[in-house]
Amino acid sequence: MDNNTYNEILVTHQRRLFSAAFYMLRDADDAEDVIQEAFLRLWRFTGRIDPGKVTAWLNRVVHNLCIDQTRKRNVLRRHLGQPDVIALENLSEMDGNKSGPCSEGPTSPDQEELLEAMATLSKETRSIMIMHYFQGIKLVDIAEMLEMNPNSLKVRIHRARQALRLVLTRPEPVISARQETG
Amino acid sequence: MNSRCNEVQLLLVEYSAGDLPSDQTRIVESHLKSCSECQEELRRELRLRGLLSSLPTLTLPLPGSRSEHDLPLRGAWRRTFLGRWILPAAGVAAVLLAVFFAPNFPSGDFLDLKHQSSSGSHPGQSLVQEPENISDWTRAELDTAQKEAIFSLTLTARILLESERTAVHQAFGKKLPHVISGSLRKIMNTNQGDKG
Repeated sequence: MDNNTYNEILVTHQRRLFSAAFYMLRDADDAEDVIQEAFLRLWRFTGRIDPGKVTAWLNRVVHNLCIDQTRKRNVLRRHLGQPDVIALENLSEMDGNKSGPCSEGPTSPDQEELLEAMATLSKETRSIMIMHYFQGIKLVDIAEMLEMNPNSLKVRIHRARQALRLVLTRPEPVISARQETG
Repeated sequence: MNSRCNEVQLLLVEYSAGDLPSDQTRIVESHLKSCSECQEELRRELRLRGLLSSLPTLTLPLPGSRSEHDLPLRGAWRRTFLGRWILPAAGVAAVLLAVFFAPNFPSGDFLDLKHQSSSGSHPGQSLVQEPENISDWTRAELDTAQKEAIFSLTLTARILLESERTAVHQAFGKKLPHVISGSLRKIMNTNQGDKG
């Protein structure tokens, strides 16, 4: 892989991957570290990666790094005996009309509420959901990438949906139903 | 909820994404017509998909663009006082101490050996136990180095204190912890008292 190809991959994928890492970790610095490490590994192992599978490779590396980062953060928090205030602070800082400094647009209060609720899910499930719903990767591809059974992914997402039931049950369908009846 | 509901609800992810094969799509749609519970589940699935798929794409901060103002979202480690100030300050102090004291060691050792040859005492003890045997030139040199080291420590402390009202305030959103702030002031006051 020459410099131009590498730069093309960098430009094509870095924003999407950074966004995914940020929504997974809810911390811009951590997400940036993850992306830097992922692209560093891409450069280091460039000879071993199938050029046709670079995207899948990057997605998998970012997924694994995000999980590692979450684990490290939890260990640090446990070691320091701190409550989970950082994610909450980050959420409040990103709240309202204030778009993050690196954000192209604001996240809606409903999206913030959902992301906050997703923090209660396991890190693996959270990452799978971000990959599927935000990045638009098909479940079969995620299953192949993570070497998992597709059915177990479906079960995970189904359970996550059950866990997020309160956040996802909103009067929006009722309003549309009223409009339909009206 | 029956077993068919369980089966259909597992397929809703792919159904809502349009990734379901046509035969399974028909099964899901025929079940949805008669099951209000699965219809509700489909609404939740569509809402989940809608909210997550419409999240804004973010821009990676440019190299060197990190600052207190630009990025309010900071890592846990970088938020700690130890990571931000104490360790860098300790590093600076250690380097300064090494720079100021290192040139004196050869001369001290040399004098120590000289003293050992004259008095026969154990090397390494003479400087501590009998400082009067060190020549005036070496004593002056050590005094200068000591003063410079104290000055460098004081300077570091002063920089930290000056940072209290600006960078630290921005990083923590509150004042520097009083205990640490007080200990730094104590160092400065002690040094100023010595000068006085």
